[in-house]
Amino acid sequence: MSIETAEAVAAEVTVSGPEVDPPPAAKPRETARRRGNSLQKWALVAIWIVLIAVFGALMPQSFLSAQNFQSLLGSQAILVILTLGLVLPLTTGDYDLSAGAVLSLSAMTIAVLNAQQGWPIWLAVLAALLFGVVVGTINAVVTVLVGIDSLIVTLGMGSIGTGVVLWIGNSQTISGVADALVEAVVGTRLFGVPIAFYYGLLCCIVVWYLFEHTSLGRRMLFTGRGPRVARLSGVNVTRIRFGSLVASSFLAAVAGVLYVGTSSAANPGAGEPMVLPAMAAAFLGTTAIRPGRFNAWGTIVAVYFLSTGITGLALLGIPSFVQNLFYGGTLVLAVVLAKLARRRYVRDDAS
Amino acid sequence: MTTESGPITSGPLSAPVLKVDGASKHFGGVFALRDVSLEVAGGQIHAVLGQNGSGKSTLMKCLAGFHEPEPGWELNVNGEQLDRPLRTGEFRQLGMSFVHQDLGLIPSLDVTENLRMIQLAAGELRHVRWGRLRQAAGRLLAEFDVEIDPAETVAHLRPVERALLAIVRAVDELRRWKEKTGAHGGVLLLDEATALLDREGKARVARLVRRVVADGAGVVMVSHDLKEVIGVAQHITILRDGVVATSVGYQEFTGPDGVESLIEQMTGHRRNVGAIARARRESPHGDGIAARIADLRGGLVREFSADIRQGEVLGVTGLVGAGWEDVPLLVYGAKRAEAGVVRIGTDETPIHAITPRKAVEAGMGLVPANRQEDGVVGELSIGANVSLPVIGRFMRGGLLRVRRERAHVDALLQRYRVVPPEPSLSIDALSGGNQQKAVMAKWLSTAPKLLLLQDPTQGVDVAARERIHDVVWRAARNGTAVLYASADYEELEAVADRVLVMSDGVLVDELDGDRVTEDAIAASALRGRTIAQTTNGEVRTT
Repeated sequence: MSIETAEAVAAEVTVSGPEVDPPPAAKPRETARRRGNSLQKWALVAIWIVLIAVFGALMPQSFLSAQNFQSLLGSQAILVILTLGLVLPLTTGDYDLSAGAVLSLSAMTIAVLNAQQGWPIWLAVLAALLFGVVVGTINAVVTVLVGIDSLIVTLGMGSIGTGVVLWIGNSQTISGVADALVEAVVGTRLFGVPIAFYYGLLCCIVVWYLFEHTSLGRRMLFTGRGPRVARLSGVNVTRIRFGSLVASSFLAAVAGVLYVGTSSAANPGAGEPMVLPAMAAAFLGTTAIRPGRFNAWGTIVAVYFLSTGITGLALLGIPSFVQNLFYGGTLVLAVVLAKLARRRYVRDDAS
Repeated sequence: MTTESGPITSGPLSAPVLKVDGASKHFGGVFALRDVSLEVAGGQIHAVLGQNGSGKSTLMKCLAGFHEPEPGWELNVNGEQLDRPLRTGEFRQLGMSFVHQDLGLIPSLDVTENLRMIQLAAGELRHVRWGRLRQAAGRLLAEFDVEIDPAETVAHLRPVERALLAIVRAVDELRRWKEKTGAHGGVLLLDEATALLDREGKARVARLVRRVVADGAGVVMVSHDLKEVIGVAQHITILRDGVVATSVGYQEFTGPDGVESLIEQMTGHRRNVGAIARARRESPHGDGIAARIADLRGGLVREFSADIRQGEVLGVTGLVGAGWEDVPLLVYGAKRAEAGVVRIGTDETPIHAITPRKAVEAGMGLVPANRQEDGVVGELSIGANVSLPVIGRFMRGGLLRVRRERAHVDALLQRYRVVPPEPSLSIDALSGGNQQKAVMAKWLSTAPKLLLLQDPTQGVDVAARERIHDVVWRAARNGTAVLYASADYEELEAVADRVLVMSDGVLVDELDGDRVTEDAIAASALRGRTIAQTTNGEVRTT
């Protein structure tokens, strides 16, 4: 038999082969799903606006003042950058609990080298960022190459980091960091908002670009959601997880630089209490803008949503323990919502 | 393919233990199930057949209380009459016991713990004396001729042993229900429980099921594998597009005509594998060597070498565990090999140092058997899944060109007939067959020089299976070297130009031309092991 006949036979198979009909409901369901999604996309933003309105109605003088908003936007840039850092390994399937300690380490390094040892500020900043990369590399080596759960590794590294901070800083707050840094972080204002806010915004744009507009972002997503599939599809899963953990620590170190710039001093306990709010914001961020995924804009919305709540409560004179309740409650709630957001995509299998 | 005699025709068929009347279920206006009725007598093995999307899973989920059927259905289980949806878990009190495809075993626990899982979970066993439980478990397994060590960890069991264990557990559950309620009958529902087993395993399960009905229970076997149930079931109900296409007794489906008519009922058309397969094999392919695998060793493979000619589909097969299943994984670096070299064209790559990434760079693609874990990321979109290996191509000027990616995926979904061809849907929304078509599309879009397939039609319905064979064969004739590892001999007959048979990790036979038939392959696979075993025996005695 010639190849033509074989082709003909094969073609016939294809024609006579019963094609499984497309589920006719796919289209309407799809539109319903999209409508539901756009509702979900903006829900957090809407709640944020409601929150502002409520606090504004309760305290029109103090809460609604431009000054309050300017300081809110500026001061939370540190948390924005820290959270965006966490979002990278979270996307690729790892936790980074050491980020808070890295923030403190970075801040303390600058304070010690600049204020105490008299290093030029740029060199001190460089050293701080380098420390961030070193911690990130250790995290990555143990987690990715040795193959130990990132939760445990970064928990331990966080404790080590905090220990080093207390050691080099003699367990004290160190002040007197060069004004040049303060100037570069909060001294300059744009539209009345400290420049630090725009650093956070820039960082957000970079992460957004990475996630949405590069092939690396797509590979990161697959690495987190289906590491086996990603690996078998030729994705260098090891390198991507490694890079994410290093980048997370690097961004935590950057957040540390902003921290010193904001307060011109380093406090050994600065970073650790920020890990929980950062986690809460990261997970809350998965319920907004790009529901079901860790995403840049959702993250920044979540950070400002949370800090609006905290600031409002503080202005109302609510005791500070409420902060813990608020952040902790949000983290748990956010994880539940994130889970529900993801479940919406898994359809009722009608076969 | 079962080795024992035909079904028990004159068994004590008592009153129905399960009777479903007028079951319907729709999802957003689409009927998944429409007015389906089913009657299973005590002591009867009743097969429910259908392709993916035929409604058989929906029916099972209604019986398990997972879906609420539309009002108007009636259900009678072991004499208990109901006309409302079942509550979750209620099936247990009614005397039904399910074994689903995932078997519901916990791999890290041992056989005894798994056998007693339900009672442990229900808090029925307060003082746990493991020694006694193990002995009881051993007796129970022995009673059904299942030779498994009660202390063995389930993860170490072979797939067929796991299936047997899950079935014995379900039967034991029915017995406890009988003791507790003093009732008779009971219904065992095997919901695609054997889908992942080879012929031998399925035959072994069939033998166990025959013993179960001797107890007076009714058995419902849900499957898309016609062969598995012929010779076992006394009654077959075929579902197609949510309705009962036919429901026939044993006498009506014996003989070749009967089988052909059942296939017709399942697919809605007549097919002719033999003729197509012959035509395929007779169409010429090149004589040059496209890919060569030499001295491969690792996993279940002790030694394997093969040349794949240009345009050829090379089948690799054997019994389960013979090593064929590891060949694609080892060559691709998905599983670590100890030694071996793969040569594609003129490029040689040592296999012991290969990683999937290097394999992709060398022009290979792998379609793995375990689609859910290795093939697709279910919650992500069809488009993202399909474009993953080539996603780098759509980066221009530092931006991912999403529109170009979409056009690429759209074209692929059309070309490989993935239904629905909607890239933004999550890939979980596709049926197994369509998912696998999408996986094929994903790899063929990389224009691989060597395509490795490991049991690519597992859990795939007949129509999609033929489509996949067609796609594989065309890819080969267009210049891709194809290595097709499978234990489905019929499938190899349909698609392979040449078949290598393995046994105990080594090659034992090569079949080509007219010898590529299901029977010849099966015979060779079975014979291969016997020969290898005697050889081993001789080696040991000397």
